[in-house]
Formats: sequence, structure tokens, C-alpha cells
Amino acid sequence: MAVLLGAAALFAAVSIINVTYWYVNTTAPPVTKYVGDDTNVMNGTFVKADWYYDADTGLNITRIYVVGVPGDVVNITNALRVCNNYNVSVKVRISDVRLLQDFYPNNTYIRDMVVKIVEPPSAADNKVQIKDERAIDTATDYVTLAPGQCAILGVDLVIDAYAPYYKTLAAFQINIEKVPQ
Amino acid sequence: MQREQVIRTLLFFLPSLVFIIALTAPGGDYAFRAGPLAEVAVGQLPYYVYASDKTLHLYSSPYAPWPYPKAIEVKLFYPTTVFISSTCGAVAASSVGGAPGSYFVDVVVPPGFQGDCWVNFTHTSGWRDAVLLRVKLVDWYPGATERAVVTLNGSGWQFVQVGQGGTLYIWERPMAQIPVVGCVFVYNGSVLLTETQHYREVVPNLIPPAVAPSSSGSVRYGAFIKLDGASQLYIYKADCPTAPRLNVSGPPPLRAEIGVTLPTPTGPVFDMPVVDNSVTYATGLRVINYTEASARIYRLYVYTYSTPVGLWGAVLRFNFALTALLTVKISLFRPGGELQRVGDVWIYRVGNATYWIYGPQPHRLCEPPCGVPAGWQEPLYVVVDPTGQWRGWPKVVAVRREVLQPWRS
Repeated sequence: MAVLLGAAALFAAVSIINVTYWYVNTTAPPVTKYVGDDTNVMNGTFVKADWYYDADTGLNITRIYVVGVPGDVVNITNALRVCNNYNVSVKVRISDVRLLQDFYPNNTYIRDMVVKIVEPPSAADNKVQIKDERAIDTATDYVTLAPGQCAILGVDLVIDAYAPYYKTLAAFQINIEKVPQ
Repeated sequence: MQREQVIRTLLFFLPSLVFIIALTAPGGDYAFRAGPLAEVAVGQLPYYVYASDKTLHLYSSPYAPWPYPKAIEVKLFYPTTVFISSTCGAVAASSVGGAPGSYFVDVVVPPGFQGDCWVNFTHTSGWRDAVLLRVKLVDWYPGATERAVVTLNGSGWQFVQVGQGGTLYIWERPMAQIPVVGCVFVYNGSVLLTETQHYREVVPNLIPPAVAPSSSGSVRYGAFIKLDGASQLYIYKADCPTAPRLNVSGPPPLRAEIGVTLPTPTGPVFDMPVVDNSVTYATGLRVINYTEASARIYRLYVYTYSTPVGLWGAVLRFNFALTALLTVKISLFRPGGELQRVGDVWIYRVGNATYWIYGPQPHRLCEPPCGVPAGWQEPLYVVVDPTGQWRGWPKVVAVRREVLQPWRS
């Protein structure tokens, strides 16, 4: 019997469960992306943007079209605006660049593509770069946006002179990271 | 001889005679006991046997002998042996006895027997007694007290399993809950060959559980049936019938495009799984290969299995990491050919073979790009028909429970 009592004491335990419930609410995103002023140039010939909804994952995906001119250097200085919605400052940076689709895998038509944070000019490293369809610089430093302030992103493009006209050459995933302060 | 000598002789001789008889008689001092040699009574009976006096109302089965252990009790009052015989071969023992005491006699009703059957008890002294067995033939597996009656509507070979929790699986896909769990499947008047296979949760606490074949864990009982329209499958709560292990070769390798296209700084890559470990289990009916594989952003738990009926199957379960990546192709399973949607299943036709898939869309091209799936995906249940004759999972039309009742009360 003593052995049994000892065994029972060994296995005895007290646990206390604290009940919590978690509301899941929503708020506005810290930043909102707007098309830049250059979307007005030639009715958006060089830059335009929209967004779509991925029903399977629930993601809101922003799609930006930039158009290069084969054989020429194209500088788009105001392609996209990223504006702080919060009443606190938000740090913003380009955090990732990846080649998602290469529609001409046997050719290297995108010779150079630089996406840079034009405004504010505070970042020491303010650009990411794709060279010969490979991302060689995939992140910028943070820039801080005051409440209501917008960052302006620009794009420099060099497309190979032998690239076909009026075609989509490739698609890149470029992630913008937002950190509310 | 004087009178005193006679008295002295009798006083010595008679007790000595009694002592010698008691010492040498086979039953010892029982030689001087009065009363019946033995009593025959009803023994320990299951609830579905009605007994009146020395008449037992028993069942017999077409499938196997129906045992009634300890059905008759013989109380023996003398150290002797009582002989037993049966008019229907229902008693294996030819005699009981030895020392006085209580003896139980097992009754086993032969398969298919119906009518009256006597169990006779006799003794060389002329003592006799008997028990009447009134036997009714019933379409029921012997010894089981309850069964599930599952009405299925479909065609072709179907692999049916019953889990310990009462889930009915068809080709590994959970289809219904049934009220009785057991290892005896009766279909179309035949007891089916069955397998026993353990399954365990590969990752605990998931809903629905991520289960895979294992050497231990929860048991599922399985059998093959060939459907032709609506018909009934009976599942009895009984131990598995003994059966030889079928000689089945292993499942073929799972040749299919599996993975997602991922963007990387240097270009899109197709994120294919690489096998981490693989285990093979052989049941009485199938050979199962369980594999865990991993890729950059997901882990794949897959098992494939061969069958003795020509078809083979697979179950795939993906667990994706939460990423912020976009993709242009999500291929959970694509053996080739064009993906078609037929009812609630997906179909690929590759040559003569047809791949039937139940679960999330097995292959998708995203234009524009879509998000890479996140977290556990619903399982994909795959049945491969090399001949193109199979017509898909059957419908579970009805499920009910039946309990065996005494046929006379």
C-alpha cells in the first residue's frame, strides 16, 4: 500500500488553465502604394500599376508595369509612391528582389534594372539592382517616413537593343518592408 | 462354532469388508452414496441465446462454426466419466469427468446447420440425460453481437477500411462514420480477406490529422470489394479471420511533377522534394511505401500502396512554410496529361492509365502570379487505374447498426 501511495504521489499533478480569448481585428496598412507621377506620361506608357486579389492565399498583390525601350536608357524617376498612413513614423525599405518569370529564358534582354528610393534621399544604400536578369543587389537601407510622408521609387532600365518590341520580358518580385515605429 | 465366536467374527469381518470395499472401489467411499450420478444444466450463454429447461435456441452461420463456449454444465457427483455425443457434431469432447465436480461443455454449431440437434450424456450404469439444441441458420458472422450495414453505390474494385474511431475510409479517403468497428467484412455472401495496418499521426495535434502508415498506433482494418451498383457491406465487431498473406509486389514509383516554382535572385526554380526517409510496410493485402521528403519551402508526407486488384494508390500531404513569395506554378501532383474536373474529383489521363484525385486542385498555373500556399494543405487521395476501367469512389448511401437478438424469447 505504501508503494502504491508513493506511486500515486509521484504521478499527482496540479494544473491550472487560464482562459483567454483573442479578438482578431483589422487596421489600415501602414503604408499605401500609389502610382507615381510618371504614370501620367504618355497615358502610362512607361509606368502603370494596378492590384489584384489572390483568392487562394487572400493576398492583395500590387502589379507594376515598367516599359523599357530596346537599345536606350530609360530613367523613370517617379514610378511608385509609398505613403505612411500612420500617425507615427514608419521605416521603409526594399527587402527582396527575385526573378519570378523569364519569358525569354534563352536570351538576356534585361541588361540592367535599378529600382531606387528617390525620396527621401536619406538612405546610404537606396537601390536594388538586376544585372543581366540576375538580382545582384536585393535590399536597400531603411528610410524613415514621417506621418503622411511618401517615399518615391524610381526605375532605371537598359533593355538590349535586340529585344522584341511590345513584349513582356520578365517579371520580378520586389518586396517592400514596412516597420512602424 | 460357538455363538461368541460368530459374533466376534462378524464384528471383525463386516467393518473390514466395508474398509476393503471403500479402499478398492474406483469411487472410494462414493460407493456407499445414494443419489443421481450427475446433473446436466444450462451453462454460460451469450445474451442472444434463449434457454428453456434443457433446450437452447442457438444460431448457426453460413460462414464459420458458431462457438458457444461453456454452453452446457455437467455436475458430476461421482468420480466417474460421462460420455457425450451429439447428433450434429456440435460437441468436440467425447467425455467429461474424472473427479466429482462441475464441468463445462463447449458447443460449436457447424456452419450451415439448421434444425434440432441433441447432445446426449450417457454413463455405463445406464444413466442418461440430454440437451436439445434448436438451431436457426442466420446470415450473420458467428460470435459477433453487432454489425454495421453500409450501403455503397458504385462500381469496380474498392478498398474499404475501418478505423478504430469508426471512420470508414475508401481508398484511404475518409467517407463516413460507422457505428461498429471490427475486422470481419462480409460482402456478397463471402467473408473477405482482411488486412490490419497501424497508422500514426506524423505531426501531432493537427486538424484534420496528418496520418501515415506505421508499425504502431491506431489500427485500421481493410478489405477489397468489387461493387456493381448499390450493395451492402457488413462489418462485424469480431476479430480478424485468419487468412494467408497475399503475394503482392510493391507500389510503382510515384512519377509526377511535384513542387512549386519559386522566384530567386538568379531566376525561377522549381522547388522539388528530396526524399529524407522511406519505410515499407507489408500487410496481408498490400505493400505500402511511406516517404517523408523536404523541399525549400515545404515538407511532403506521402505514402503509396499496391493492391492485389491491379490498381494502386497514394496519399500526399504538404506542409508549406509561411512565406511572402509569389509563384507561377503550383504542382501538388501532376503525373502528366491535362487536368480535368469531374464532379468532386480531379482526373489525369496518361496513356491507358487514369489518375483519380480527391483533394485540393493538384496543379495550377498562376497568371498573374499567385501566392505560394502556406501551412498544411488538405490531403490528396490518389487512385491510379492502369486499365482505365475504374469509375471513381463509390457513394456511401446509408449506414446503420444491427444488433443480434435471440430468435426466440
